[in-house]
Amino acid sequence: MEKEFIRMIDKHRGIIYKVCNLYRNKEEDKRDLFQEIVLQLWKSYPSFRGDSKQSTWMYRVALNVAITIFRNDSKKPSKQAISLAELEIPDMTGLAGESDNLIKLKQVIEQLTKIERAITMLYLDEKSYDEIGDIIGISNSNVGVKLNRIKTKIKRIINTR
Amino acid sequence: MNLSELKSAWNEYDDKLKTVASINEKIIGSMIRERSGSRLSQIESLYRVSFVSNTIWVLIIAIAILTNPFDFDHPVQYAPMTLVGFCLVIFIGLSLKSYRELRQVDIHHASLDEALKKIIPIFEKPWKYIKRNIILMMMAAISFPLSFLPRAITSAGLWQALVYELTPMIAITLVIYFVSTKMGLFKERYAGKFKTDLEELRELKALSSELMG
Repeated sequence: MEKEFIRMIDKHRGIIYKVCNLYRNKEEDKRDLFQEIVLQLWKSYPSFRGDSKQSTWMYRVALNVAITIFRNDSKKPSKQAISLAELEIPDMTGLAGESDNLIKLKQVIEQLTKIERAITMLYLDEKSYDEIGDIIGISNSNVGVKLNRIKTKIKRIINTR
Repeated sequence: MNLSELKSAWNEYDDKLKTVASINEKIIGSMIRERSGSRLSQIESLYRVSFVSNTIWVLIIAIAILTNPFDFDHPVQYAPMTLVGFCLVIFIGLSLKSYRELRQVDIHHASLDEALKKIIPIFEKPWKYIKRNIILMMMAAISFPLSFLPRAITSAGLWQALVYELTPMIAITLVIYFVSTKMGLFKERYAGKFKTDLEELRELKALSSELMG
């Protein structure tokens, strides 16, 4: 089961990287969050029945961990495990040959609230309204309303730059 | 820059993530095994430690009441000590309840909205009891020297008892309280923690109302 799990994590590692980058700034905090997400995924892996897509389930767990149960940066474990120190979480603006647009995108995302970031990430990953609603726990129409507000906010942020 | 450019920037980021080396199997394997380092495990062990330490204090108080090491003559003299024990029992009950409820939150299948709705009451409900309990416990601890007053009055009379017996005890209590406050013991360990909890609760509520709106 562990091998299967690791394969799944590796296949969808982008989801965890994105969540870590959207919700944490410091490298150490990103690693902590990464570890917690992996642990929570592992804990619930036996009960994952495949009712939803693997990616949907991973988004749900990762966002719940990042937003609801792993909020305070100052409450970090006293020391990190050795294995964790080896983990490299690629930063949005730290990848080789990053464009100006990526830097601007990160600056825009930083001005959004936690919920807005989650919805924006799912929208940018081209998730359907149904999937976004399922992960966040709001209705389809509410997803539409929120996305319109977010788009307006993003336009305002871009225009004020 | 417009929205479509943002979207293509995101796709660019996504593509770059795909080219990043696979996650080392060893790292994931050891992460799973090194559970003790996780934040949730830390919270759980914090609850366990506070449960054990509070239980030890309750036992010490119970033994003190049963064996009467202070030679109390009247049941009233046991009141402050009993009150402290009672408050500790309430703390044990509240922390056990929160611990159990936190463990039952199914963040793996619940949506973000559901998870918030389950976690907020766990933080919020015991809060009013905790505040009352802290006040009650402080009152009981401060009034503990009064337990020794009846014996002092019998042996030395009211005024002398107040001057010679009660004053030093109250002074010691105040000095300990003053030094502890100056050293930041209350601030860092309790007030700071409660303040953070309240801030977190406020943040959770704001997130939940944002989803509703």
